[in-house]
Amino acid sequence: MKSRHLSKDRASTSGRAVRRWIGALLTILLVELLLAGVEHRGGTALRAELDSKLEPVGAWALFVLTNRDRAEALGADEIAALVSSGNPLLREWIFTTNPSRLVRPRQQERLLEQLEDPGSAARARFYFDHGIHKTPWLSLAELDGYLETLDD
Amino acid sequence: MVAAALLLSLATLVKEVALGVLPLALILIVARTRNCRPAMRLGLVALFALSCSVVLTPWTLRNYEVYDRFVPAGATLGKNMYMGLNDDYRNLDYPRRMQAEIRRANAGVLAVRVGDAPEGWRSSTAVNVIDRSNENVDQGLAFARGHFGYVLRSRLKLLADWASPMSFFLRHYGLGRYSGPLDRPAVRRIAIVSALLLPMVVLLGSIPGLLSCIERHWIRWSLIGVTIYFLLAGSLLNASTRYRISIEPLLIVAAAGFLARIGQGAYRRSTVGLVSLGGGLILIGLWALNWLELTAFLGKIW
Repeated sequence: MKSRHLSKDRASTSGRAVRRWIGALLTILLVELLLAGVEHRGGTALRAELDSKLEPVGAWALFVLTNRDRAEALGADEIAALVSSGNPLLREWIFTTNPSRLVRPRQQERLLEQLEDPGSAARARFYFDHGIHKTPWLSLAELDGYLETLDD
Repeated sequence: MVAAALLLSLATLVKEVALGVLPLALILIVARTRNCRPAMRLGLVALFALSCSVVLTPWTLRNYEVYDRFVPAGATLGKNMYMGLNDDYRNLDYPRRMQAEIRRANAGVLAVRVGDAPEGWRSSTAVNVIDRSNENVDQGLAFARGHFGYVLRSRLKLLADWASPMSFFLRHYGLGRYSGPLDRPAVRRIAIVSALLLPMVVLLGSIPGLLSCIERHWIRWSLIGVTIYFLLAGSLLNASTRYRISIEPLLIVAAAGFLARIGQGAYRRSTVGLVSLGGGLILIGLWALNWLELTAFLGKIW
């Protein structure tokens, strides 16, 4: 009789511990989902704003600048379209951020010929801030920051 | 339980191949709690699943944001299959002056792998990297089905490299790439011979050690099951002695257990003895596959 009561106590203690842990983990999961939702809404709004700033290339340019993996699939025509879009940030990104992986040397030579202003202030700012050999891929926040500097 | 789930999930974030261990662990929990009340059993399963979810959810959500696809951990399988199932021998760290001789030494094993792969194996060009990976997986499986003999022979070389006592680092040590007190020629020779013999002893001793030193069946078969899982998952990679299954500490302990109890007669049981003998013969066969490469290399650096 006594051992059965002890087993019941032990079982209820274990059950309480499991329920507490489940409650704690569910709370953490909920917080994660809430934060992700906030980030997603913020990212969506930021993307919409950046899309308008990056017209006419728009969402495709955002693709390029925020996701290097997708950018690997760009063809020469698409790169040329980005270069000739007139947006100096896009041009600078192609030649400084990830040139060796994305754009082959021969493509770079052809595209350089299309650049109207290779000595632009945006390029100088980009080189200075990122370093000529650094190949970051920009987060949305960094992209927004650089677009603001171009508006100055 | 929570700690195990958290560690497994963290391992999955490091390498997505560990993702397959999570459902295996769930099955183990269900099997081990069969004497518990249903509510407790469900609670423990939920506890494990939630612990994994807490770790994996942020990265999964990030992946959905970036790739617009459901990716719980990573997506390197497609690329690994593309490089591993149809590519040539990959111990490219041999110096140029040795590569021709090493290839000649491996000619017999690599006869169907040297040169161009059989036609039809082309990497996907999908824009979305996740779609690209998934397409490469499908193409890889189709390639394996269509060229089964070719793939099987390349897997033998892969296993031989895994079991090889000549590791990536030992090879570089033999080439004199690490400076320091161990870099003297005489010291290097002794160290290389020891470093070749000791893994062989560990691998041979770990088979009977695993089978008889771990007394609880479910622990023993869990460890063996996880090992087999990583062996199968890693079998899609390209052959290279850079890769190891991360169970070597376990094998060292198992081999030590075998050596410590060798006089106690535990290995006279027919099952353990037969399996150990069979495993030992397989290991010796794998070493034999790499024998010419090993002797060619040692001849160059001795």
